[in-house]
Amino acid sequence: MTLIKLDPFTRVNDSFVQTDRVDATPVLQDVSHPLITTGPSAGANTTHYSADFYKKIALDIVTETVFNYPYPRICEKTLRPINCKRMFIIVGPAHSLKLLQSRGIMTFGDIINESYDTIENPEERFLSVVDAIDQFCKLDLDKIKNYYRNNRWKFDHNWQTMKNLLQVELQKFEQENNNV
Amino acid sequence: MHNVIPDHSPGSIYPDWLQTLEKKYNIVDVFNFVRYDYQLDQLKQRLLAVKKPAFDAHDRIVAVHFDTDYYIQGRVGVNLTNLFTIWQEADIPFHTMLLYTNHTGIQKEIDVLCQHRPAIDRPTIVETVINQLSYLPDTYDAEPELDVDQIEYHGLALMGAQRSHRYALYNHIKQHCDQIAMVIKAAT
Repeated sequence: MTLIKLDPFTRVNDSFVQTDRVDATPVLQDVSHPLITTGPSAGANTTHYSADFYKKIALDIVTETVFNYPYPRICEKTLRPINCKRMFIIVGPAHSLKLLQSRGIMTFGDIINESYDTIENPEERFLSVVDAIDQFCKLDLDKIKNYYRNNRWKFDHNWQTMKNLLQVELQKFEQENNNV
Repeated sequence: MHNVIPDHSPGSIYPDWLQTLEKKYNIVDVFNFVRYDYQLDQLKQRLLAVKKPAFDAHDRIVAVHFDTDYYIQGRVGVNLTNLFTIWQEADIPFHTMLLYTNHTGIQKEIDVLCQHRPAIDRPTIVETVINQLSYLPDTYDAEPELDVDQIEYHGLALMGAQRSHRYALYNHIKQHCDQIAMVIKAAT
């Protein structure tokens, strides 16, 4: 094996657009919605588990650290809606929802089209994600609120699952290694 | 004596995880790979400093691997390849490497990197989906109330570091969904 030198150094494969169906033109000015007024960097990149504005939204569209990636890699951005009892869509690597489900987290395929999660091609996955967002935005807000009321147990379950996740991971490791 | 990273960066190992690993392994060192992936000479010096004439089967050097990697041809990350190369240059057996990582799928890369190595000289992989930044214990001191009546917007998109998928999402939502509150950092 030989060392590979990247110049400039990078840790991200950022490019994923292959056709003109996706417009990834860079945003040239910071944009902040008036709802989001608290927290460092105006809420752009922090966890905000207790921010008031978060209580006013139904869906967290999580833009994970990476999108074009060979396998799921979950970070704090995805845990935010779970900790705040909110629905989420993940703009991230394929199979991110499947990974969360494997850890006991329940996702929201009964109200959100989650088929994007299985699409390996990043551009096709992106188009599927934004289609899911468009569909969600067409729902009446009262219908979404009723979903929350009728599925309160699901959000409670996810919060408890996340609360216990560290201990569950540790126990799983110990069990697997005791059996070796 | 291993060096535990003393901060709460995502590159830190949970004390509980370290204690659990110490029950099974003799932890020789713990380092945060992201601090060395562009300073590989320093990593090599660190490895040489903990190198033993002969490692025990239970000795482990923990590489905390939470940051992203760059893929040229899609199969194996550049930085992971470099980690293995430095390990080899330091002439330390690969069975001492323990990758504590949120890269859930990294085994495929390890299989490629170790395809010519004997089965007993391969790294240990410990996968987790949580880290010191994402999983703050005091988050769970009090369970939040689910106050549905406060909901006013369909959605929220908080977008920080510059990424093309964030620009593409912003451009799409701006045109199609005015019920989504967005924050995004400009390209610099």
